[in-house]
Amino acid sequence: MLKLEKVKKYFGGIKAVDGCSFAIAPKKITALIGPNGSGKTTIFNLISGILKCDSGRIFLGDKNITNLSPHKISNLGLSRVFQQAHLFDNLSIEENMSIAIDNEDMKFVKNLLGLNRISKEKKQKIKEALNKVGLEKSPQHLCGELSYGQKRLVELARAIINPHRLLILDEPVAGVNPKLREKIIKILKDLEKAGETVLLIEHDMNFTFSVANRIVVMDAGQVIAEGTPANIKNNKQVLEAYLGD
Amino acid sequence: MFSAYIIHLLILIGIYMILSLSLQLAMGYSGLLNLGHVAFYAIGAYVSALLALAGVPFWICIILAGLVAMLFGFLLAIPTNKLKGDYLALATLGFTFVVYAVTLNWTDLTRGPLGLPGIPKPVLFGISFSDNLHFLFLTITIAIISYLIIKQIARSPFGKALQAARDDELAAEILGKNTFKLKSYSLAISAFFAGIAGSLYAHYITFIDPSSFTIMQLIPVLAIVIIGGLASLEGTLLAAIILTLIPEPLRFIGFPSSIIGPARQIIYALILLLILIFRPRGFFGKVKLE
Ligand SMILES: Nc1ncnc2c1ncn2[C@@H]1O[C@H](COP(=O)(O)OP(=O)(O)OP(=O)(O)O)[C@@H](O)[C@H]1O
Ligand SMILES: [Mg+2]
Repeated sequence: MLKLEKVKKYFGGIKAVDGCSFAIAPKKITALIGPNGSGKTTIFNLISGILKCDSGRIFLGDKNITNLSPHKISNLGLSRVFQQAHLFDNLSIEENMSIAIDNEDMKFVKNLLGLNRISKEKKQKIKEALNKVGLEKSPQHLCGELSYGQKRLVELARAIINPHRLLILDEPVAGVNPKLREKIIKILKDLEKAGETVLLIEHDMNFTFSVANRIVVMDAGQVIAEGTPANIKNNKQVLEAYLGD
Repeated sequence: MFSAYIIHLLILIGIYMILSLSLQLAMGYSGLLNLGHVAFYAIGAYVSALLALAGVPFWICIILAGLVAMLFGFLLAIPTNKLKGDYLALATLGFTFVVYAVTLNWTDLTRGPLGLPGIPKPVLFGISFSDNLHFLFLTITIAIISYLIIKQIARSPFGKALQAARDDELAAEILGKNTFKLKSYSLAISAFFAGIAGSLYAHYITFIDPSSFTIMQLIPVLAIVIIGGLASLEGTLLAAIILTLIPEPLRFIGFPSSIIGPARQIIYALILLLILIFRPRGFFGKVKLE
């Protein structure tokens, strides 16, 4: 589904990503873990095209997406939730969601002639997606006025409704309360059941081991281990990377 | 006499409405700090004036004025693609100076500082608009059409995508939106209407010269947009009326016109300052200035 080949990204002297290769399988939840600053978010930025690779190649399915612009990669089937909130604060929840559904809004003439309202089907789809993440807020509510937890849920729902083959999530439960965390774990398990392919970054080991089928471990810009949660738990190198901090 | 004066003011208000509504599309809805608006206005005025003086009918002049300004909007969007905030402001400001310099120095075409006199009053479908009352109807009609079109764009999904890219460009890209396309369309449409306003101005005053299109001309338009409130079209209409009228009493107090000009600018600058301090969202603004 996703394949990285010797991907490299340096920031001046900092080797943020230093020759990473790994692949993730379809219909599984894969977790990318590693100590702070090990290069996880940088990998996500390279996959989604926000940063350009110094060298190496990235494939989504059989498509080479290396260094394409973010909107092209998105339209090839990538959906992403950021580590920090990235909602459109002056738009309503419904408008935030509607933008993600398709690219009809980019057709200028159709929009000018008023032929492009948010259809009933779209509104229904949005409602269902919001129900799926269990958000109890009117879709007309402005996103800028939501609480942190609610924002995270809208972002998750928006990424889910954005057509994709691969969903990548950067620390989806960081900073949320235990109740919401349970909710998000449940959402992720539902996604897996529905046959989604997910790659997520997470610090919390308990969380990771409870949702992930496969784990990729990074340290200092390199992949140091890969395997099932059981393998990783007993991997010496991994323990060192975390304890040696 | 007095009613002639009122009609004159109303025509100016109409032209300012078109100018500021279109700037609102770029600034308020798309977050582009565009200081090149007067340049598009100038391009529209000169294109229309030169064509009309060459005998081209008015309706073709005004449409071409809009289209040529729009073309420059697209061209300006290319280098400013990577530029954000302050840099975009500087680049578009530079564009205003370049256009000003061209109108001043390309004397073969523009007659430079001598300006272009004798621009004909519009004739449309056999109706002459040489009478100011008629011209007022023309201006109001075009202002209303501009308002309706810009309103339609703003509330359509395309407009929502513009606003999304304004709020968070990265997130818009990640959701598959080509934000460069969004921004260049916004700038170009905004320029189109500025060009239309320029054409109206040229055919109303019947004389244009570079001094009508200096950077100082931007201040009232900018003031209207900010005081009306970013992303508020109704606020913009109201502000266009109020700001055009505010300096007028100076005339009756008996100030000479050589003082009224600069005094206007000072008044606008002061109002702008007060608004920024006390009401950063303007009258009806939906988004805050950054
Ligand atoms: N834009 C940038 N410019 C310079 N250095 C950067 C940039 N982005 C990341 N880095 C550096 O690259 C390294 C990897 O950062 P990255 O954000 O990928 O880590 P991470 O694994 O996501 O960490 P965390 O768990 O804290 O989120 C860090 O040393 C970071 O300081
Ligand atoms: Mg990170």
